[in-house]
Amino acid sequence: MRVVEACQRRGVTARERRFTSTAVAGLTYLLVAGLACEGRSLSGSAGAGGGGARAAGGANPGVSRGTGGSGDVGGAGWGGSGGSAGRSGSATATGGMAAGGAAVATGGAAGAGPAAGSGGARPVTATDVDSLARACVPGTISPGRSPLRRLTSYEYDSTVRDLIGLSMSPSTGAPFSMAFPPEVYAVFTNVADYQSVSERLVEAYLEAAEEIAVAALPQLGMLVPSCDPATMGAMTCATSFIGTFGKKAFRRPLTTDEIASYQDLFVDGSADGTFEAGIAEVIAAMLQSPHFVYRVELTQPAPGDRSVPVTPYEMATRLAYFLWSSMPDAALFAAADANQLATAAALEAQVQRMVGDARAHDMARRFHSEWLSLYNVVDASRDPGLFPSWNSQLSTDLLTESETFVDGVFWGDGGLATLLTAPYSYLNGNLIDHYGVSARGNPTTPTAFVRVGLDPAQRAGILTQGAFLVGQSFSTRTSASQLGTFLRERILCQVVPIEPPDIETSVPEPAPAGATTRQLLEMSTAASKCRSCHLLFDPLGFGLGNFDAIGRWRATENGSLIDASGEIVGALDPATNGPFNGPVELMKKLATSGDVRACVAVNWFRWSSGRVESLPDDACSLLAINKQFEAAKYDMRALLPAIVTTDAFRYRSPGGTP
Amino acid sequence: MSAADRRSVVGTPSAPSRRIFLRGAAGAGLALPLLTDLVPGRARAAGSAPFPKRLVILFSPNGTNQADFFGTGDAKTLTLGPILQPLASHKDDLIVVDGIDEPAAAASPGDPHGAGIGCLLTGKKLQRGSLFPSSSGGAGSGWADNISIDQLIAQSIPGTPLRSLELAGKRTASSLWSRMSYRGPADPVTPEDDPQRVWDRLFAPPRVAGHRKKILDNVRRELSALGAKLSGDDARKVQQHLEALTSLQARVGAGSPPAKAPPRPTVTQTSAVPVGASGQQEANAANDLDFPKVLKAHLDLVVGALTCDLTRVATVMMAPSASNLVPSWLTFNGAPITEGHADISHASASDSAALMKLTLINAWYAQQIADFIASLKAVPEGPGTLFDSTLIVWLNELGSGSAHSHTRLPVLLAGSAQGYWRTGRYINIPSGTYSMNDVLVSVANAMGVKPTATDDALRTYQNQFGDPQFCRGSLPSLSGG
Repeated sequence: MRVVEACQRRGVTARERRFTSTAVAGLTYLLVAGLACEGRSLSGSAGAGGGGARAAGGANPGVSRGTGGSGDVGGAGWGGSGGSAGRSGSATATGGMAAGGAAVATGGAAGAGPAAGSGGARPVTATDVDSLARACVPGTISPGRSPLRRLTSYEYDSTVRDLIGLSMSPSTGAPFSMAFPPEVYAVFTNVADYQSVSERLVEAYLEAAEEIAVAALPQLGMLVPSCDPATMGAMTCATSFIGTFGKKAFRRPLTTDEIASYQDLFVDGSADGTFEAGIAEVIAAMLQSPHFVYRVELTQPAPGDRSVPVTPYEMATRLAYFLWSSMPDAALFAAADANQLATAAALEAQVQRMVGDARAHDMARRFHSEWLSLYNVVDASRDPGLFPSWNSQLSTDLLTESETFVDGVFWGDGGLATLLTAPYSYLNGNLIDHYGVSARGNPTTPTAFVRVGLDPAQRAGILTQGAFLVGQSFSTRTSASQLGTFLRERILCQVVPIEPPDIETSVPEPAPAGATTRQLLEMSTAASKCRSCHLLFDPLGFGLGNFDAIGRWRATENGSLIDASGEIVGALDPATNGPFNGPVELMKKLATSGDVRACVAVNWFRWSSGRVESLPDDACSLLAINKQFEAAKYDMRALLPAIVTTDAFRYRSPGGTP
Repeated sequence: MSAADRRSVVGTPSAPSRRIFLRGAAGAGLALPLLTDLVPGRARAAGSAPFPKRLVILFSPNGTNQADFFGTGDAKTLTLGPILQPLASHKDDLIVVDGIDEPAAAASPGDPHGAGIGCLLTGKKLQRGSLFPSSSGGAGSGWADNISIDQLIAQSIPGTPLRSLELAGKRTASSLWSRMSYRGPADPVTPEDDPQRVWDRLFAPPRVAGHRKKILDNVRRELSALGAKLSGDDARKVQQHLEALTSLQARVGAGSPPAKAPPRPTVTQTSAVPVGASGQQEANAANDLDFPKVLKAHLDLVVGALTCDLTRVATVMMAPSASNLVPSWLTFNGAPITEGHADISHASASDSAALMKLTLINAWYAQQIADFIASLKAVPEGPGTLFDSTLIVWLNELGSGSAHSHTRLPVLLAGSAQGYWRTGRYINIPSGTYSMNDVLVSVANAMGVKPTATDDALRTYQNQFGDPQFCRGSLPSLSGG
């Protein structure tokens, strides 16, 4: 416990970094604290008196606390800056920990009665379901923040496809003039707080809108059915178009003022040209409208209220972008028209309908790819001397493997345990060769991806597949630190302490003959000041030591046997902690870990809401999601209806933060 | 196919084409006054306006070898340290500022690199956050919490087709380490890393189109109406969209590119994104071989943009914070350097060879700046050169590379900003007195901008920047002339 805490205290004393001598003194302190317990006594001590409570806080560096201040995207709980403990907002639990006080939970539970003031209570964290239960006040409606969301590049492309009926990807440029600028994101591309608009994006919107408008013109018959401008009058048809197309583009009926302004644009466009030119001008303008590029929600609570249900059209839009990353379809529009999205049962029925659509499959693939940074594999380069077989086809195939696997698992039995432990994957001939999988009993085909049984002593689920492994390795080697840090942050939802300055980070040179990656790492982190923190993540990465930098199995490295044993420390769920040997045992531990289950749930919550959870505001929403996940025996599909029936999804809070 | 090429393909005569949007504007573009050529100071060409001042902020990462950077001197003299020797021919145009700390970074969440770069031009502690991987400077931090000084200055001196230009020598992920400029809190500017795209943006601006004006006006009306109904962050977001649109509208009407634009660069960005969004970087010399060429192309484009008065504010992240690029074109003891910059920087506390390599690397960056200055001096402007109106600032996110400290950061100013301050001297700031924020205030003042800072209690401080607790105001020893 103290190991974790000790490393975190590095951050507490950020001020120390100003002067080297002080920083060194701080490190010495860590070193002593770190060695004192060797990280072996982390589990089960929560609540054992004041000291124990503090340690619990340290062990679970609360991933995300409330966002009181504007733009404060979920405070990290580990007390990186004691000085900021007083920051506005009710939900920051950092103060207690940073100060090293005993009652770490009080800050986090402010305003949530039940947990406040209980000295032994742990802070409210998304991966601590008990803490969520304490913080949730039944009978209140608490939607959390509802920031203005802009279409991501992917959502923009999907929306245009569904709106115009043409398959295009304007955001990537081709076949258009100008790609959208790279997105500003962290983990997920749909984090609303990071979705500002640059001049370059506005220009790309302009270029894309014009080109889409032109591409849409041949579709006009479909977009404005049964209207012939020659016989019915150009303005009549244009107005009909503005109303029907506009409602789809803005995802709600247009106001009379809006209809009038688009009529003006039609007149301008058609004045020296044709009907089509006028329509093109309308389309180009609508596609640049804030009501198209943002998911505008304007409903405000009644005076004195803290929340308001979203309107039927807003709900249709929320459902569509959550489950499809695209605009509502005709059925959702019809349901909104008839105000049939107001009950939990109606929402669940929509989820059941919508998951049958291919767009839901695309969405699930995308969620997993962003959550697990699988797209890294696409950009990965490998040293041709060490990995002569590496090429772009292989990287593409590895991504397809994991995407196909997600498809198969998520829409198969849906089990989180299957995702993390399945002894099979989906391979084509190229990958069967790459992995050196025996073709016996497995159909081999050069291109199609088929389910292939793998050695159950070697492979277990998506984190033992090439896309993930390559994405977290370097061009010449694997890195247990990188892999372990990723597991700690993205799979256990904990925050890893920063690397202290003034350290030698490179591996010893010349490398001793026959040394494995693990041995080199252990040599270079032998100093206690390194080790106290590396104990948090390296052992997790050691568990994946049997895979090389392109995801192939290896029993030896440089002639030495791989040691893939390790130990998980610092998880909240005591059952998660403890030793394991090899990737399969590691994955089995993770697959049944309470921390991992709650971490998956909160990642889905973040994906659905475009923001980091704010606690305790979102405690009831997260609690409900976790409970339904548990009731469904951790079938990940249960998260979808669970999320759409939360307060966070059905309500909005007063617009913006001041 | 380049964007410029594609533009010429789009609108070929098949059925409906984007000419729809250009109708009514036919010929209008040609009728607009052309920028005749690389005549400096476009604003001046019209009449008697003075030459505009320009600001270029250059960044190189990972701290320095302080003993070799600062040199010595006083209010009248300057003796360059080894790192700055490549700038010897420009010595009389330099000011070395010794003793500047970055207290905002020291007090900020985030790792030393992330806090250092995030706070460098913003002067406030980073936001807190939980989404950034620790291996890219996150560790409990979010993005910066303030507009950066370059953006603030750019906002204050409108009138050019591009408010500002942000460039990066390496391809980067969306991470704290690789963003320096911010339009506002948590709103980093993504720098352009590919010289060809920079050229397209500078010298192939949007075509003039009659109908575009009406469409963009409609977008503007809708944005304004929407913004009026929102508050807080949502309103700010829409306001930024509106400002971006304003800049675009100005460019849409700006006419054709200069007739004698510099040639489109032949070099493109070839480096790979570091491992994922995590930013964790390995030393991989192959990934960095083109870096010198790419950086030079970028700096040449800055010269071109300033010459044509397309923008007056540029920032160049020569390499991202914590960059581990391998300067294999440099030799040490007769052999190419094979380690990465960050690894060398880390090791330089105890390893004298590493410390010498750190000096070599920083001297190489100094050489690029020397070449850049020489290019500016080669562009005549009125009785002098473009350099006379340009202020160059070279910064780093750390002081000591080995300690990763936020004290005694290497600060180099080049150019007098039209005589605003006297160059050819060394300024020694007593430790703990003036901070990076104060340097930024001085820079803003030199550009004719007086920033204000607001504290947590919403009190406003004139001519301060960032967090007032880390700011005293402009450096008196600097602005004294």
